[in-house]
This record gives sequence, structure tokens and C-alpha cells, in this order.
Amino acid sequence: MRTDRENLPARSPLSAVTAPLSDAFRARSHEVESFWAWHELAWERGWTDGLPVAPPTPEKVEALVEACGLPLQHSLGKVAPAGGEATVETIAINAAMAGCWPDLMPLVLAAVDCALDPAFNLNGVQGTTNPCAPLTIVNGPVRVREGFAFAEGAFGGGSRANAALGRAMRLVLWNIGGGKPGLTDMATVGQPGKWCYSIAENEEHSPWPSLAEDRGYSRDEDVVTVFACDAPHAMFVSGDAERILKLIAQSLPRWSVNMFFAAGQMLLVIGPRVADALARYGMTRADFKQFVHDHARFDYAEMVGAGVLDDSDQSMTYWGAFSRPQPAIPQDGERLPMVPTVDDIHVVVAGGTGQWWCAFCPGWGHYGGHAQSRRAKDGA
Amino acid sequence: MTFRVLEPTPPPVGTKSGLQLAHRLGSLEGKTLAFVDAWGRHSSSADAMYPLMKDIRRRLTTEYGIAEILWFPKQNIATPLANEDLAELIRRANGAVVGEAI
Repeated sequence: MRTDRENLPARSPLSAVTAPLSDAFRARSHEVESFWAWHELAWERGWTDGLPVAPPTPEKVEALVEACGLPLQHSLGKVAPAGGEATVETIAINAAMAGCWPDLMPLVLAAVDCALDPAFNLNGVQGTTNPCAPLTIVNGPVRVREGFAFAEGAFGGGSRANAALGRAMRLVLWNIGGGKPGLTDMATVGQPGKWCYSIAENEEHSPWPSLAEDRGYSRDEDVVTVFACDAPHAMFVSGDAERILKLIAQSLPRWSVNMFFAAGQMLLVIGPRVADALARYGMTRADFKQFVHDHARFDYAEMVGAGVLDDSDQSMTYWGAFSRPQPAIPQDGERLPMVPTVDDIHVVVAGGTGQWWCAFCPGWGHYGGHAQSRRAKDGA
Repeated sequence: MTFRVLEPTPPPVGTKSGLQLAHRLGSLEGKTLAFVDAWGRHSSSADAMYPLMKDIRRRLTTEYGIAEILWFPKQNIATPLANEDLAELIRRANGAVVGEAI
């Protein structure tokens, strides 16, 4: 059963717009002769990252602006690195290009507001050589109401809502923030999430409180959490709870994972079947996070023995980007945590119930991109 | 049939919006130059910035008559300079060298 397909929204109520705002728009406008003329114009002017984008007509943008319930020129802040003003107007234009409909706008505003939190360090997220991209995670009734994918294929394909929200976020970063590969976005290899990166939690098949509840919100609130992270690394962790835990503890602390050099935060996306096995074993979400912090650790002595540590170069030492002075070399087989605290581990239950798949999304490190959450209505 | 579309980019930031570029230095002779060091120091107190930047500092001092070098280590490579350091840089330096050199 795909719960994400059951409540696809009705068409945007453009016909309900009776008082045009067009005269108040500050954006420059162009007359185009067809969709394909617009398609070429958008590419030539650098308004798209390569994927086709919907034409942001004044009528479409008006409908999105009205859904925000905010003044047209109300600004959420400046979007780094270009410093463009994230006004309701500019956000709505980009959301229109992403295919958003009015009921998504409170989520779009909340997501943009998360990314503009100083603690997120968007300037760094946009410019880093790391492949991280801001992932928007949706919790609350809006997931079902607007047709978000949170079961099979939670990370991609088949949901207009995931696609529109993820694309809106990306286009805001692209057009207002000016995050352009090779110019300001220096990601060495990048990742597909730089086009679109949005998931929702499968709250219906989770034995645990949701991510939003874990972060202090109630279950009936619509909440967006934004976390800058790598593409999902798939993990197949089948069996009973003890085997699952061993597999996770062994799979996460790879020597090349960003956490070794940069600490920071990380996200674990747990399939419902795996979460159910852990819950039946008696584990709460908090227990699971504590287990990961305590057991998914780097074996320092093993790394020294393998010759992969070099104390003369910061990039080759444990938490080299994070700690000065460096942590003491562990003694007597002590193992080193991936991230500083349990709270730096985020857990989301998502995916279908059919198999034992999970995903690991390493964060950008202590530099920033740390998870930020907002209620949908808090976007302003 | 034609239709109208809106540009998704905000007005450009720069001279058109009233911002002006800093005055260009005609000479380095006798000037104060600030280095913004993204890597800070090793636990041994040695500079952690890559060798090229340290060599640039040496050459600017010995060959171009720089009067004073200010060295501002950032908290980490990916965050802006601390506000108090930025204020001091603006107050004291005639020019700045920023960035990474590998």
C-alpha cells in the first residue's frame, strides 16, 4: 500500500484569485511564446540547474503568495552566498518553478527559514567541497494530506509533493542564494540530492515517536526539519534485533566517513521492519540512539595499525577539523565516538514495510548544516 | 499565444544597489596586511595554514615592504571570521588575504 498516493491534492485554485498582485511584483518579467521558449530562456539565464522548470506566471505566483498570508516583500533573510533577499515574492516564484501548489507554501517557507538559521551556516553548506545538500524532512498530518512519499521509495520517485518541496528548496538556493557549481558551490563530486532532496517520515508504521516529536513538537503539528547531509548510503540489516544492532554498529564507522575527520551530526533512516524489530526487542528511539553512540565507534588502534592515521596532517587525524588540541590517543582499546553527543544522531523511520533496508546520511561535520526544525506556520 | 513569466532571481547585489567595492591599494609599501587563517594552529602551536600561504606572507614582508602582518585564525574553515576579529581587521588593516591554498 502506498499511503503517499492516496491523498494527492486537487489542482491549485488559481481560479479563486480575484485580486491580482501583479502590479506589486518587483521581479522583472518576460513575454515568452511557448513553454519551450521559456525552457530555453530559463537555461540561458541560469535560472535552472539543468532540469526543466515550470513557467512562473504571475497568476501562479499570486496564488502561492496568497497562501503564505504574508506581505509580498516580507523577507525571511538573505540567502548565502549571493545574499539575495528571500522575500515571499522571490520564494514563491521559485516554488512555482518547482511545481508547488498553495498548500505547500507553509512548508517551503519553513524549510527556507530552517536553512537561514545562523546555526545552519548556509554559506558554508552552499560552498563546501563536501557533497552535502540540505535534506527536508516532513512530519505531521501534512504528509498524508498533501501526498508525500514516506513508504516505498521514500527518497525518490513517485511523489509530486516530495519533488515540489525538494525542488523549491533547491531553486531558492540556486536562484536567490547563487549556489552554482564551480563558482560558489565547490562540492568536489556533489550528489543527486543537489537537484532535489526531500523525504517524509512513515509515522504510521513507526513504533517510535516521530523525529519532530523527538525535537519537541507534537504529533499533530506539521513540521519541517532541514539537515545538510550526504546522499543516503543504503544498509541491509536483516535478522533479529541483536544481529541488526551488530550490523549497524559495524557498518557506520567506516574509515573514510566524514564523521572521522569532522564529527558533526548524522542521520539514520530506519526502515519500518527494522524499527519494529528493535522496538519488539525493547528499544526506544532514545535507546537506539544511545546504542549507536556507544557502539558505532572508530577503533583507533586498528587504524594506527593499518597506517591510515597521520598526526602531521590535520585531515588525517580523528576529529582533525573539530578538536584543538586533538583528543588524547586512546589507551587500552578504547573506541572513539562518531559524533560528540547522542543528540547529534537523528533518527527517522521511513520506507516500505517489505524488507530490511535502512539508510545512513552523514552530515557535513561540525562546520554546520546541523538539523533545524520549524512548524509549517512558523515560516514567517 | 504568449505568456508572461517572472524572473526568479532577486535584484543584483553590488554597485547598483548602493554597495561599493573597497579602495584598491596602489602599493603595499608600509601597509598593514591581514591574513585570515582558516585552519588555525596545531596543538603544537605551529601554524596549520598550508605552506603556500605562509610563503606568501614571507614574501610580502621581505619583498614588498609590508609594515605589519595581522593574523586572524578562524574558528573553523567553514565559518566566517568572528565579529570582533572582523571589526579589528576593518579598523587596522589596509588589505586582507583570505582563502585556502593547497
